[in-house]
Amino acid sequence: MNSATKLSPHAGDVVVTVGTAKGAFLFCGNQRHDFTMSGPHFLGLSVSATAFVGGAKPRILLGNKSEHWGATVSWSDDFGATWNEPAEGNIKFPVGSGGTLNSIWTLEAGTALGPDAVLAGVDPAALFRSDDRGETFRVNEPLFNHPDRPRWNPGFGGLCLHSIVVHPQNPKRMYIGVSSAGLYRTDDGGETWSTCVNGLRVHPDVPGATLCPHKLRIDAENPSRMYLQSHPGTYRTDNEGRSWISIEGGLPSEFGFPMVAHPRRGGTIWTFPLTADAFRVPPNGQPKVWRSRDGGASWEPLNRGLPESDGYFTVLREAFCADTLDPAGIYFGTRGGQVYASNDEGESWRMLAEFLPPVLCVKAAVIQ
Amino acid sequence: MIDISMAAGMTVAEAIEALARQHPGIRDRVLDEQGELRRHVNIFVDGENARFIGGLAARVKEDSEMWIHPALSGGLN
Repeated sequence: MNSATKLSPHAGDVVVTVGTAKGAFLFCGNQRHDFTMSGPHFLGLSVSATAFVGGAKPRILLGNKSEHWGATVSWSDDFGATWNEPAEGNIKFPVGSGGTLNSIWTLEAGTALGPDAVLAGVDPAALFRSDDRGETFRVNEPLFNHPDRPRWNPGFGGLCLHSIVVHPQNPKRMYIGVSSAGLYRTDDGGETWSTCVNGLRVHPDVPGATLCPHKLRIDAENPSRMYLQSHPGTYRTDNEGRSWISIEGGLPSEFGFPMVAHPRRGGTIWTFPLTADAFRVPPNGQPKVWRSRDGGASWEPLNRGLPESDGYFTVLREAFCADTLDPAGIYFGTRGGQVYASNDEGESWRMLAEFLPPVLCVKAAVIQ
Repeated sequence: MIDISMAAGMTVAEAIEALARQHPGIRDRVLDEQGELRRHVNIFVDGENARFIGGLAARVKEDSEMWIHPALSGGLN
């Protein structure tokens, strides 16, 4: 692995941002063959969310946090050569609301909302929107003040809004996922929100348990279809979230964190099962990515190039992504500090990095 | 070490505002959005932890020395 302080990607190259518990690392892949790494950026800060905001030279956003000084969104317009940090915190709950930002869980370039729109999900669960490419944000008040909020309980990782899905043709429709509260849908651009959890099961052994979705993704070809990895179960909806069916048959476990959907091909998804519930390691110490090409009706394990045994790492929900090349590149990072990449949609894997801090988030972008 | 003008009877909160006028952004690093001192930050006024002498309402003197200190301890990472 080559390392550099400055990346100079060319058209067709892939840039992968890896956020870890102690900083961010950028990887630039020359035609996805030779990757150069730059970093660490923001050494010592946890980087739990990242996004690319469009354009020929995309802006890289990082949701980073100092345990002392708080969390902010920083950005680079030159692939990490320089970074901008806001003078004032740019994700803040309104004064008097009682809310204080703990961490940024997810950043999504809301392209259907506009080329400069960015959405952020945070802990404590709230949705923020930017219209200036991630420099300033405002809270979605109807969701923050939702009458269900008093019943939202934090999961082990906190009360986090971790999933944001914007309908590609109808941007007034959005979905969000909160652990441990459930899924919510809006059809009016965020003015009102209603639950869409029919068919999801709560934890069978915990009386009064609330729903704990982990990661929600939308199908690339059919926006009425979405896929959900939840605490108990893997699901699919074919009716915009009005009901959910189980698609975990064939997987070695109902538990896991990430869910990734193919950027172009409907029905193709990847997940990374872990043994439930307290163990949270690959079943039998054999880490495998599982792919479905039929919307979850059947699954196949993909582990060529991954450890065949004694592999006990975890992949978090934000740490698994795809690029938009054909065939799609797939990338994931582990809490053990490894980063793996596949150029062939998971058929084979190679390690890009081995000794990073625990990986919290991974995103990839193809340079135009 | 940064010198700011403090008046007798000024509160710690007011001293932070004075500091922020010289160094924009420091307020958000020290206080959360509700104006409370961040959990892992301590402020010492003339050697006393401000949390035990009135918090942000604690009074400073004209020649007080105020330290803004991140907590140092072991942890999970």
